[in-house]
Amino acid sequence: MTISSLGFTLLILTMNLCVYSILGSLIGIKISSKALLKSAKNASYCNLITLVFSASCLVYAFITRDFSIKYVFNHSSLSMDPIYTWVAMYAGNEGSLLYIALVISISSFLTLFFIPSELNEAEPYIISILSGFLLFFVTVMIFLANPFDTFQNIPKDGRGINPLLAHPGMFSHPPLLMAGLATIVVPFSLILGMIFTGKFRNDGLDYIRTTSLLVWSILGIGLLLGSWWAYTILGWGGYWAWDPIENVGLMPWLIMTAFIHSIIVQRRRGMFRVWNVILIFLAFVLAQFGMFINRGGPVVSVHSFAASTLGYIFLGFMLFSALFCLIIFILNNHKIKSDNNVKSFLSRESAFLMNNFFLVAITFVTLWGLIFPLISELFANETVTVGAPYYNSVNGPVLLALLFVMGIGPNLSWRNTSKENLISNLLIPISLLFVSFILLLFFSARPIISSLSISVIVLVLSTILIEWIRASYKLTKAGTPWHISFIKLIINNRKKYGGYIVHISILLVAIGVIGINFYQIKVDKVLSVGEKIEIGNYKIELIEINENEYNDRREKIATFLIKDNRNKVITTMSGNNTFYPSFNMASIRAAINSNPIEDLYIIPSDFINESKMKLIVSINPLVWWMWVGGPVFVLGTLISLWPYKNRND
Amino acid sequence: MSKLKSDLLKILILSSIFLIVLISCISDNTDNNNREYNLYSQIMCPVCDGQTIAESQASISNDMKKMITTQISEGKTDDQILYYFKERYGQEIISSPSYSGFNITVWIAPILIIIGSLLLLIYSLRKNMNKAKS
Repeated sequence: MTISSLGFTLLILTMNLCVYSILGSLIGIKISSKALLKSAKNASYCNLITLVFSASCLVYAFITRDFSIKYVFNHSSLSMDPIYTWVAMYAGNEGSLLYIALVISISSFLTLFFIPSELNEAEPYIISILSGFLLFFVTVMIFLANPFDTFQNIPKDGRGINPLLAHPGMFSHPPLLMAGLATIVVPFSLILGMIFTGKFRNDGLDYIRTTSLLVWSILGIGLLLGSWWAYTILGWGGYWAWDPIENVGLMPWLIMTAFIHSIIVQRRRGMFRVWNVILIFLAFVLAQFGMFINRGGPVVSVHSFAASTLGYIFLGFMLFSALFCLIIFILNNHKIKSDNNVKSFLSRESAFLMNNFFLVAITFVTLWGLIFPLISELFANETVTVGAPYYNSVNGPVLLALLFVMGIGPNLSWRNTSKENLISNLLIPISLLFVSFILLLFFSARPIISSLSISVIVLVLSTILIEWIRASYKLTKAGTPWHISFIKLIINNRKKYGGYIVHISILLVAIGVIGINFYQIKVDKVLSVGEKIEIGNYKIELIEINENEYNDRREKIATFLIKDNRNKVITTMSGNNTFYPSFNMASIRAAINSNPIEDLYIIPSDFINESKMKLIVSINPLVWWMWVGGPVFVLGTLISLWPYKNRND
Repeated sequence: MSKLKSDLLKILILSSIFLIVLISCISDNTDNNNREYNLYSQIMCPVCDGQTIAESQASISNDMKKMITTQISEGKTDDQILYYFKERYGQEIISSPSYSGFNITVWIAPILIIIGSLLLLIYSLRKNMNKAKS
């Protein structure tokens, strides 16, 4: 038996297991047979085993360069760096479907393994949703996009991996992003299970919160890593280009962000139940929309690696999910009722509501920009491009409003905030907002919006810091140093303080975005070896251009000597421009010298001859903070998710 | 409590000074070089998918960049230069829709919908609150 037929057989086995676990669960409920339910659950566990082995078959084929498999031929070659053969599995359409199926099986295994007893009744429904979702991907692979498809005559060498993917980012960004999008099905299935059993109240909410936080953080880190990857390479429009493929990853994350906030309100006050159902449905449908755009959608994008002719299948699946959600919602809407209403505008509930409102608004603006070219073509018969200027100018103010709510919200109490509390909580943050705004107006000649954004960041940061200091002071007994009580504070209330740390990471990202959007300096220059240019406080000299030939690529490396204003050498930097003849494609890596104040960023955009080149030089202020935001984000999420021992909150 | 307040103030003032110093450290020079680049990032590359000519390395993009440089040296305004490309390649060459005709809906619709639904939300919340009171 060849490795390809083994892998394919395992896929067929998975398909049968999926069908069995769906039918077993549904019939098991009908005839209330415990044995059948148990066996359906075991069948769903088995999916993990079959898919791990099936995926291993494909990875093994890549490592052993088995070019008899078409997918391996299309995405690897003898001359490619061996390290990328381990990850080439998800470099194209078919393999990435297998990867997604694997992720679904892992996540459903974990979901079912750790499921709390209060969800026992809903479990069969959860199993059938998870297996149904997996069944879709496995069926598509078996009938339309088989990753194990083989050649009659085995080629000697493959075509190689897409040069743009041969980057360290390949190890983290695609798997995390795909995993994040695919696993939205977990909280989705939990909530559906609870709706079907008529129990979407307070049982199991902690479990939903945990799973959705996990999904949300995986997706968030995936997005940030993608941003970092795009930043180091020319052609993807910098750290964020509002490209369709980027947008379809962002939208579900935004809705999930709204969801993990509003689920807190449901837990605390028994409110927003219907709204939470809408949010999770929306997140799920948007994730399927992303899958559709990614695999053959009607809009153009700079990164369509999984593009295929399967667009209509995924469009169909998205429409089906949307219809399914709509029907479930209409049938069950009356069963889901909230216990309370918002009592006052000056309450924590209303701040959460505003947070949700602005997040949904940003999602809407993004979706509107994404589909507008189609609308324009349909109604005005004109082809238009909706690019970064639209998103920046429409989403910018809404993002600012969202940040503002992030600064005000934590100062409000649940139910209603008394005047005294309001004044004592907000006095310092609001006055700092005004002070920093006025100072910035004097210090900086930039647009008012940038000064405003920075002052709102000051507001949010001061709110968080004041909270921390006040709460640690309360914990401090005579003699304990403040930092001990601060650590105690965080450990004792991980959910809340983990959340604040995540807020700080969002501020760090915002600082980077403000720096690059409002304070960037960028020039295009032609430079010969030995020549110098000056930009900002830097003097940049091109010292040499080297050329290296490899089997599959021609690499040109430019090296620069960087001095400061007083002619003191800071560093040498090099950027490369690598041409891949078999793909007729160049991959251009920027030279970056980063520090907390600014990045010096040089792109060797074109080599004119051996001693002359074109380059784009820019100074990107504060971007360093954006990447620091990543680890802080992970830290905050981990603190927030860290389980309590034998104690329930 | 007063010690707490004074400590709070100290920390906050220090952190805001830090932020402001950081901002003012940033090299501050806006010169004409930016103008060329701004134009590049407003014009799409006609042969690539979703890239502006600022990012694209296609030879046509390089030619277009040269044309922009020439036109700037001829003293043309940004609008004139953009119009030049729009006439030749159509509206889709510009990275965002114009503020006229049907295309204005791309800008106005989201703003109207956001403001409208925010007002609606506030109105319905207020109605609920009044109901709860009476």
